[in-house]
Amino acid sequence: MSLHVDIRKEYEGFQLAVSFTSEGGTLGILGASGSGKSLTLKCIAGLVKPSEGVIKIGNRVVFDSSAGIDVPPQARGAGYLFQSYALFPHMSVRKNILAAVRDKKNANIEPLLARFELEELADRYPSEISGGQQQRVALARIFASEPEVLLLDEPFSALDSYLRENMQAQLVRTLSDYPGDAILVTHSRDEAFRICGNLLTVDGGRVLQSGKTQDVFAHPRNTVTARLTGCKNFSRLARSGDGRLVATDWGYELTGSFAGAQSATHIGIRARYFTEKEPAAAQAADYVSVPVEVTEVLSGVFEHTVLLRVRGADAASAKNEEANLWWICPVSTDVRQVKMLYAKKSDLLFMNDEF
Amino acid sequence: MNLDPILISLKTAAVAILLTFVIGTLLAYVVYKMKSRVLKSVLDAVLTLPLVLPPTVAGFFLLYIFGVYRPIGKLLGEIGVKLVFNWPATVVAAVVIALPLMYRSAKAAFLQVDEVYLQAARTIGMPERAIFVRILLPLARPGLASGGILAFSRGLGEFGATAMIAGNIPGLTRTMPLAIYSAVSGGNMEQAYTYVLILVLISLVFVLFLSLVLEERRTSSARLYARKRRRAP
Repeated sequence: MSLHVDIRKEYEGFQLAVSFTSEGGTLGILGASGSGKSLTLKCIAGLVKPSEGVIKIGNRVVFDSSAGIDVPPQARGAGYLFQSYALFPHMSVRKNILAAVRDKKNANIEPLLARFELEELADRYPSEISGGQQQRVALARIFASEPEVLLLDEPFSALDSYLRENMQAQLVRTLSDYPGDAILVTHSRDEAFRICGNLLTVDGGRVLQSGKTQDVFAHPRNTVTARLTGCKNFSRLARSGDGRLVATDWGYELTGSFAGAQSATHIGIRARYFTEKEPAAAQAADYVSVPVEVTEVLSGVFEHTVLLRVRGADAASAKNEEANLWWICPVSTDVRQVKMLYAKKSDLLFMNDEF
Repeated sequence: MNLDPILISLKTAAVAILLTFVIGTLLAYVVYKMKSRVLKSVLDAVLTLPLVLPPTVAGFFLLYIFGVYRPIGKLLGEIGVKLVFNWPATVVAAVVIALPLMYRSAKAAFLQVDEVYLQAARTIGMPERAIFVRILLPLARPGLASGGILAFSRGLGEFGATAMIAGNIPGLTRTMPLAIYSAVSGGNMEQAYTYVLILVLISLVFVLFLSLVLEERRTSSARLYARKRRRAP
């Protein structure tokens, strides 16, 4: 089973132009709110009509503007999990699920009820069950319609954080039993990382980067993708006359040579990848060292979030918000004594925003 | 006291509300689903017109359409239906005058239903007709009910259009509002008082019922649906 999407859509002044192919497993679409990710799902499901393009579910063309094909949502075989779950409030759990069964005469939803642990709740109304239970009902209802592709629209945003982790584990199990493709739209990097084998990042209605989730997280190619995957520290890059790199926002000059830095416009580093421990002399060449001064410490339960600046950075960059460096370290660290931070050269992210 | 006007009024209002409810709800659905904005506005204006016109003007148009010498009236006459100045005319008058209330209430009720339920129904494969019957209508229920009660009450009180197209024939087309008018113009105040009292009482009952329905709408739908649940042992 595969899914191919190549569409353009103008929608209330917003331009969407996305193109991607999913070849099995769960594909994540990671983007901030308003980036066009939900709109993409609605186009696939047939709830919104793209201005032009092609959508293929499996071998079936369900939308092709040039051939005049626009299969109605009822016949697309796209199971849509809505953010609010959209359970029919006037129907019991059982009736909600039955509404999705096409062959009403031979309907047997007991296996579905059992699979989603809903036997006890079958005669309750949606308003009488918890958010997590509602999600299970919504999933059972989708599976009752025998979808070829699953579209999951921010499935955990309506749940509190405790329930969220439970439901994520449950969804991973459900998806691993499911033979078709699934697309999960989210703004949460944790959800994307835990659930999705492949990942797209989107912004302003465009695909920024796509690939294996691990690769996208390890090598974000632009600052927006890096930000979406959780990176907090960014600086523009400049090259001095003799070819050395300067992180201008931080007011920091890098020494040595760096792989992947040739065409980079920006440099970044994740807040957790700094360490205050000086590397052994043998490894020193693999590290950069940054002289810092601590400006603020926010203490959490397990870790400190530390705001720093490069020591000796000039006054111009000191006024710049981007000049702040974030460092997340265990609470056991004696933050106030830190004068120097180290980071592996291989952990530095080099990005190009001119695309 | 002559009970005829009361019986005629109730019979007319009862038949009229059945027609008004079905026609008004279906018209509202057609306009609700319509994609063309221009056509939508035009239909909306036409369907609202009887509400803003004086009922006598609406009655005038009805007479113009259904009059015995007009094409439609002639056609009806040939198949043996005598409409004008006959009891069915009271129904036609009540339906035309009450239709805008039903139509507008139903359309507002449909617009209030969260589209996500309809989208969900589509993606799980429910045909459009099933979505209308099993999702849209039940979720629009409070609005439809209040529209129905408003339309019934308006039909019960219909005077101007009825007088134009059905006349004021005792025992046939003389409804309560017409009976009150006749009683007053004939100086029979006793009788007028009685009919007024009865009409006020009936209307009060229905409007009270209406406000109870609206009250129910104000309580959250969650509680509304929870109440319907069978008591578990």
